[in-house]
Amino acid sequence: MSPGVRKLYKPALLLLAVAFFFGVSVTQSYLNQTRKEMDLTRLAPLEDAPPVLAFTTQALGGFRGLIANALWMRLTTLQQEGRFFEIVQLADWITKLQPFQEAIWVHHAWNMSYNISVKFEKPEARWRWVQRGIELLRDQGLKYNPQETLIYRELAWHFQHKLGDNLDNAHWHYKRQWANKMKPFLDDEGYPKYDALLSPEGEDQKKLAQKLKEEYKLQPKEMREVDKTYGPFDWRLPEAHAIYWAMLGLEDAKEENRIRLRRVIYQSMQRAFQRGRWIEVAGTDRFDLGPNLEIVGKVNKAYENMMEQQPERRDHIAIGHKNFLKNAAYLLYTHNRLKEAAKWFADLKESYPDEISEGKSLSRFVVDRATELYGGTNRDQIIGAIQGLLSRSFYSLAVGEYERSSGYELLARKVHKRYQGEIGEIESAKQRVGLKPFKTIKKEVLARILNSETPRFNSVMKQRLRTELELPEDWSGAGPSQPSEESSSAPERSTGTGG
Amino acid sequence: MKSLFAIAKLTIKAAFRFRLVVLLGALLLISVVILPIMIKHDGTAQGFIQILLTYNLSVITALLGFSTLWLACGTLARDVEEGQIQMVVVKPVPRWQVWLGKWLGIMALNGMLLAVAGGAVFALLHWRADRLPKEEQQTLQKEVLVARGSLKPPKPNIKPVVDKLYKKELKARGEEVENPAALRKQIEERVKRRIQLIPPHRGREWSINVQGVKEQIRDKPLFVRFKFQTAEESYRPGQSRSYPLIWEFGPENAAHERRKMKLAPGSFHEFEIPPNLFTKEGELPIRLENHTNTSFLVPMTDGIEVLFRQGGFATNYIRGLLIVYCWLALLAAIGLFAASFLTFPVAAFCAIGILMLGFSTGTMQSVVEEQSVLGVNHVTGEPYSPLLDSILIPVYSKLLDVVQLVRDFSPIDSLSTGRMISWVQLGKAISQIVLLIGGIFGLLGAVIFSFRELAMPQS
Repeated sequence: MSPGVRKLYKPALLLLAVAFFFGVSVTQSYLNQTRKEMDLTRLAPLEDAPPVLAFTTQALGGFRGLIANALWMRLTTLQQEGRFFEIVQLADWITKLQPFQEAIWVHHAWNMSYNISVKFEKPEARWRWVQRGIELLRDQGLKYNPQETLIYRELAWHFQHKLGDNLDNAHWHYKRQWANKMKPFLDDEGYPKYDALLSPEGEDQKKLAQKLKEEYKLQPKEMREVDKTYGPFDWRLPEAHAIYWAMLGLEDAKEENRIRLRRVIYQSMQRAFQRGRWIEVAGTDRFDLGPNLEIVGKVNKAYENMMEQQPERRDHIAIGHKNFLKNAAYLLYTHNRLKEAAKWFADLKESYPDEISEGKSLSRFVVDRATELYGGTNRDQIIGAIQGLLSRSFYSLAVGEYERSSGYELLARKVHKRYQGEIGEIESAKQRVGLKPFKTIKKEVLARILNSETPRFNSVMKQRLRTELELPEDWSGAGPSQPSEESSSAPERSTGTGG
Repeated sequence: MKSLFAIAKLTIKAAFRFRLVVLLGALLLISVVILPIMIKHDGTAQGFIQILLTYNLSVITALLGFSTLWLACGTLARDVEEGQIQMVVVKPVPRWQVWLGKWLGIMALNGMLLAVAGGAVFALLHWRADRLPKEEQQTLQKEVLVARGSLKPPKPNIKPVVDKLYKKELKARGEEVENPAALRKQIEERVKRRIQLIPPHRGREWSINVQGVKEQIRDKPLFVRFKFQTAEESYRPGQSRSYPLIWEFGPENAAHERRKMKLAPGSFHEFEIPPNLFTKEGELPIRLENHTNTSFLVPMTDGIEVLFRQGGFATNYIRGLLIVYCWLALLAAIGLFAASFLTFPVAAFCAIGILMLGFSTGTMQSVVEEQSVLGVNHVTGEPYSPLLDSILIPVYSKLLDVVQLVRDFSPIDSLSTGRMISWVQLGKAISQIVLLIGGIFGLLGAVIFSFRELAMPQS
């Protein structure tokens, strides 16, 4: 080779390589197009995949399965030995080696969130693993399988069941942690700051909106759609997120798979109705959950839709619907929303006439339900029920749930009145099994609350109760200064008379 | 000796000339730097350090292992193929010294590269660890960046009990026993189960002998590593079922600690217990009460152990690296052995084949355990291939014994879980891996090479 040729040899090779790369890219596009036209691939060729995945997918070819098997075996062994620190990485590799097998994403996410998390005693450690499971599905699984119903369903199920339900000992911790994560995007009531998220102004708002989209993969537009269609929801709670992911999944789901996502939506709506409102407990890091009564109409609609969509399960769903209507009437009543309670009670009677005996009033129905829930029918049980309802009334007052406080007190009063009415006017019976006046029982309950220290009524809660009831600091229930009938709840309380 | 070192030097020079050392060094350092960015961990500082240690050391071992095999095959086989060896063997140097010189050269290179890469990992670990909050640093120092020794309760001698029960059973059954070995195994399992089981509302006590390390553990906290199973677990996959366990550590009549814990079965749990709970006689009693309605099973082999700080991480780390170095020494010997009588590609293929054999002991293990290659007919209990079994099972069994001599060490696992790698273990590794197995390959390689015709006409 002459020196001149030698000098050109390497650049020529380089040029040739570039030409080949260009040729390959053109041919590849053509081949991809042809594959699509001839329906040779189940999914479109991988686009925008990270370099590592693109490389492994192309370079390893059929060996990917073998390597995935080896990694899977290592994962199983490590898990059996309780050595979990490698599991996240191994799951990542296994899923990346077979990125289009949706069952693999689901399996590994489930493994981390359900199997590994429960091996730890501390809630913080459990939460780490639940997060890893959610991240695997949300950040990776959906990236490569944006149309896979199974992955959407699983992600929604993580929120509905793992975070939302109470089967895991650490479920309160999960809820709190998730709420903390969501806090920057929500107002004090837990509703998304749509104005700031949809049309962010200024650097801070832009960053916030970007964080929501990039870190949590939540699109404010879709969130608003969820609220509009099924809500409004408190987005600190997992049910809203379960519905969000199930609704996203519905967009591309095949008809036969839609029912699985719909079920998640309906079940989450029922849960949100029962306990879809976040209540901070003053003076502690605890919180409580209350019903989200704003969605009662939509939940009812959801039941009706379910019965329509699944005629074969109509009877089964109808049982749920019946219980929901009973619950709705009861909860609305206990929240002093008597008109609405009456409306749903009427609906209950109309839809399920056999369920409510002829002539039974709402008031009677609610009192029956309360005595059934809180006690029973004998004197001691009735006293227990009244005390329980009053205690709930005071608790609701301390946490600022005025409607609920009034509702519980009203209910306690009704239970008392009904029992006294049943005894009749015979003096001996009154003396033997009669109750103390309602006012006295109420004072006793309040005195007991204020004179003892419990996690539910800590010093901050007691102080708030005193303020709400305008009681002096030294009130212990023994002196003349007693909570009057009127001052037993917040000033804006309007004790209902109907029902 | 001079000629031996001269050949080693030539091997090193050749490696530098072909830029192998630079390339490998760069690859190792890149992996050390890049891995922490790429790996995903469980979200804890402890998990991150553990995975960093495991993956970095594994990558270093793999890279150095394959390059050692390649270099060992190449350095000798290519010298022979290209005729350069003739320039060496015409000098008054015995052939075995040529072989050994090459091995020494490769090992010097490996030593250098391992020291650089190992040092980089060590520095990275400490750099990362120093940036963690104090609390996490303390956890790391207690559980990962440490060399912890292990103490287990004495293994109960079940043989006399099994013998007694076996004889009793034989007597009761008379002539009817078809498979006495299976019967004995059954009885053995029954006895083991009785020892391992803690029935509902009952307790169990273990006594750990700490006499030998009493002074070492005085005033220092200990760690209990514990695993249990329950009868319910298998029916509740993924359910958050934890069981209340009541522990008592230390003698009942002296200072002791009582603790209630809720633990999940099927996994190891590690927790700290206060120091100095052992008796004057050097016994640490541990009692466990089962107040549930289900039975607990605590495995005899690894159900419970006590971990204590036995030494620092740095020396443990060096011992771990030295075991890795022993593996590299064996690989160099295997490569040179293959190259002593084969051409480069065949030698590389052969050496990798031997390596694969070492990695595939799982299959051999299951064959030996099941005592059958193709399995057993579950109806008749007869093996499908008695002839094959009679030949292969003894072969596999011996092979396993040999491979086990090399695979009996897990320095990377030990380092990442903060376990002690003792000097005794290191000594065992040197004698088993380098001197025994490496020596056999070396001896065979040197002898074959000594008798090989090197001046054959080359095509």
